[in-house]
Amino acid sequence: MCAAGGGDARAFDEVVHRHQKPAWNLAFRFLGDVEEARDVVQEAFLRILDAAPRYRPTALFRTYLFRIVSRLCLDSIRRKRPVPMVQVPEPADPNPTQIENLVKQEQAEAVRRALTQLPAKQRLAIIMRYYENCGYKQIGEALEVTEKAAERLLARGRNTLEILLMKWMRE
Amino acid sequence: MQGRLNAYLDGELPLTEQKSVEEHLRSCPVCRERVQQAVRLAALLASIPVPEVPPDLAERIRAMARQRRRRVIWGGWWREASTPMRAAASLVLAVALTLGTLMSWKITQPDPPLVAAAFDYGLDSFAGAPDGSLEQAYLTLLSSSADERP
Repeated sequence: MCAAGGGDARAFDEVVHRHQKPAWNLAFRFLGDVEEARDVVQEAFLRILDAAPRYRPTALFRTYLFRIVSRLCLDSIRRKRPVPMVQVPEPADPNPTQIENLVKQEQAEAVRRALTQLPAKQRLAIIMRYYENCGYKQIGEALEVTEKAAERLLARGRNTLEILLMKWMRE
Repeated sequence: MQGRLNAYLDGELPLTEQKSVEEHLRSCPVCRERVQQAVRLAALLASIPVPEVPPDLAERIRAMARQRRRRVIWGGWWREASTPMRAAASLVLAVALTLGTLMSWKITQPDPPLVAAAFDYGLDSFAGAPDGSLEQAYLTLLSSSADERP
């Protein structure tokens, strides 16, 4: 990252190569839209490049990356139009495997919907914890809150999801 | 216990406290159910697939980064230059533009004696002829002949 700040293009390429997946995962899981997630990730890396000359490795780079992606995600939803739900077509004559697949699809859709109903910071905290294995410290730094606040965001997010997904939790 | 349970679920407790919570769970069905709920939730959350990173994403980022670097190089020079340097650069640019404008004006302005000759001999259409053309040569001859007349 420091090399990228000195104008080393290959160093920046390496930063992109190593960190595009977690950035993409966070953006897509939060926004649920491929194009928006792509725009956010592109912009995140460009902002990192702009700030590279001033970058000081005081924390994990991933935390810094998540902070930028989180900010862009939050900005994005302020401008966002509702994304139409994907309609799953009914098969003509479903066999057991197809029914099972449909149930799984419905379950995945229910989870996505439940996540979108969380307040933005709770959603980000849940995604970082459950999908990126971040701890309170990292979540706090990425969301620019205290560790205690990160813990509360997770606890509240979890409680809300358990209520919204009660049907699926019983099965 | 609720706060410690949340930290336990999030893997944030030190080992000694984890053991203490696990000890508690053995005798508390309410907390045990709470933990099981959280485990079921974690499994549900893990069931959402995520599309793979778009294969062209890195290349698009690189392309935009290259464009940005080009803009930064020129903008950066101007920002980094001292005031005398900026003044000198502005002056050079102004002189170059002025000279260029004058030269192109001179080229497009017809030579006055040739214009007069074209008028005198009714050869208006020759007046705008380019340098080195037959029409220009003829007009030059005519205008020099006019100069020689008493």
